[in-house]
Amino acid sequence: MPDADILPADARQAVDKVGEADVVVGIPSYNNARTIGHVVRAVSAGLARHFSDLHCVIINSDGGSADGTPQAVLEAQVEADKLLLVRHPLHPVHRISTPYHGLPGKGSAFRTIFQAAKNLHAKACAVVDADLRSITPDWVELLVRPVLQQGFDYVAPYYRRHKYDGTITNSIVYPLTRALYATRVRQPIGGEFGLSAGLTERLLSKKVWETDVARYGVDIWMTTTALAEGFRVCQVYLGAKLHDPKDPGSDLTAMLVQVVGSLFSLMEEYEKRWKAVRGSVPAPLYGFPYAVGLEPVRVNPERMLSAFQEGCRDLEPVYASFLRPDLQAELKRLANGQPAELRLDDMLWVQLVFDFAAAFHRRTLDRKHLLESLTPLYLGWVASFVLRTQEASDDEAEQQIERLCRAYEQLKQTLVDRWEGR
Amino acid sequence: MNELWQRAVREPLDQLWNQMMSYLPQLSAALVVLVVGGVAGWLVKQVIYRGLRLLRFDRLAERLGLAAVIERVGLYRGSSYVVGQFAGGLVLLFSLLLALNTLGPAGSDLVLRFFVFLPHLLTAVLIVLVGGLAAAFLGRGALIAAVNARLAGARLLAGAVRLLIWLLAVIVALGHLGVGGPTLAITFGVIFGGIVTGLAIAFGIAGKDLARQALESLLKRGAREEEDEGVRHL
Repeated sequence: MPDADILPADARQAVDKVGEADVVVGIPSYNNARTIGHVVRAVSAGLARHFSDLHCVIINSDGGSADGTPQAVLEAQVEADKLLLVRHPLHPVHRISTPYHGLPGKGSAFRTIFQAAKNLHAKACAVVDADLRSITPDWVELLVRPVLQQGFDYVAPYYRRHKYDGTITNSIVYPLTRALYATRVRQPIGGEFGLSAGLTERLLSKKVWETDVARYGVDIWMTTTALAEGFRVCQVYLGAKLHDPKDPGSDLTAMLVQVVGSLFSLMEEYEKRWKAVRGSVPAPLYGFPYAVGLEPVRVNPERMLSAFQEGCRDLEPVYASFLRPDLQAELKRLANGQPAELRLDDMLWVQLVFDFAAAFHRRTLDRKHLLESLTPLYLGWVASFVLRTQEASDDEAEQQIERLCRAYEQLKQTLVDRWEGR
Repeated sequence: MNELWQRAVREPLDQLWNQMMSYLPQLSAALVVLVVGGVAGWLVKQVIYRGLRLLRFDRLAERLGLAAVIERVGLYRGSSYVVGQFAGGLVLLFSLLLALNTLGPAGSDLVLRFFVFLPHLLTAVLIVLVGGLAAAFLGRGALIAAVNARLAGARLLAGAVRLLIWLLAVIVALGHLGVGGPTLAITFGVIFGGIVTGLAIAFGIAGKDLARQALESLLKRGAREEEDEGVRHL
């Protein structure tokens, strides 16, 4: 598809009118009128404070909000005199709000932002979520400066999160990505990223925009592409991430299917790359790691445990079609055990994830059914993690995650064997 | 007495014997054809099965997704085995038809009628196969969805889905073969409609509070999951 077709006509005109820009900050949105004004103000302030001598553009790529999100973007006022700027901006920060074309989802919104950045010949592009409540002007600098000044291609966020916030990331996405591509990026699906012009162009050139990536798998796709294709990756410390609760319609199984499905699909694309590496090294981390207060999280592991046990019993014939007999036997034992004593340990969990990945690759089962059947097992791991770490501090819980990551790395050869049908 | 014996027993027995003797060559030929066909079928099955195993056909079938299809209908014992069985079965069927043909006009007539009937039979088999596939696939989908929605009796629900689809497929196939005519379809419709209406009335009258709660909980499911479990998944 030619570039010009991707941008809607009004956005193309607006981009042509601006001409060129050094920095583009994109904000994908859908019904975020309540929070997006704050995000736009923070981004505008950040650009004015840290990149006052550069041409900067803010682009809101909207999925057809019905609550006035685009108006909120264009009307958000920045009180320049309260910013205490050392220097006043040489150039005004342009704002463009445009609906995106294509499949509904965050990926399509990103595509519009990347295309606009490319048309504007931007040297750096950053994206931030529209539902953020904890964003500060410094986030813009942290996401953009490593690209502009240190030659990084991909800047991933590093947040302080509650030990029970981001459990899909903690149990699968982070450890598996780290074990596969041998680089530790703690928040691979964080939501805020900085990208170089080279990486933006590379992502745009990929023929994935009509697939699930265009919907919700875009974060893990970008991180994996950057890691697997040898782009320079770093992390920046952004403090705490506080955001509006997710859309209640997006249920756990749908999230798991999208995120884990994207991860497994990418394993097929980069099979040679991940099979060739072992161990991991941390991606460089920038920013000042200050302590932050985190929102309390009330957890009910009993309900998850009962979902796990019932799921194991009911889905036994499904699991029997692709899990190894020893894993099936272990699940059977856990399903019939006393809930109070039940723990799904890290080694078992890792082997289960690897068997799921292999079954996905070998198409042993319909892929959607396979991914959906992961939900009860995932809840079993989360409940076990909660029971193990109830009295632990966030740092101690983080050490548990580190142990899990090491289990993924230790058992990587098992994944290779299972993947190849051995 | 002697004449009676001659007429009542001896002559019919002689006739039967003569008929048998005149029919014996055809019968023997048919038997030979059947035995040879059986042996040939077994040989073909073994050769194809072993040949495909040597050529690692199972692995190829797995890659092409054929193995998954076979597994979904519940026939999975290795793709090579299934293909070998099918080829052997074809040879046996062919030899059976050949044997019938050697039995003379009556046999030939049977073979002719078989060939007229064959397209209907194949279509019916195909309908049942597709029905089996759909039943296995949708049954599994219903099972997983019910487990994830934490419905009680997930296996029962999945079993009911499978049974209904199997029933529907068998009734359509039988209708295609001209068995039962519209009666079967009407019976199925009446039973299915009766079950659904009965459940709706029972649920609506006896369990209206339960129905309200179920609908409310369905509408608020996402919010409730977070509330009940506490953890934030993403």
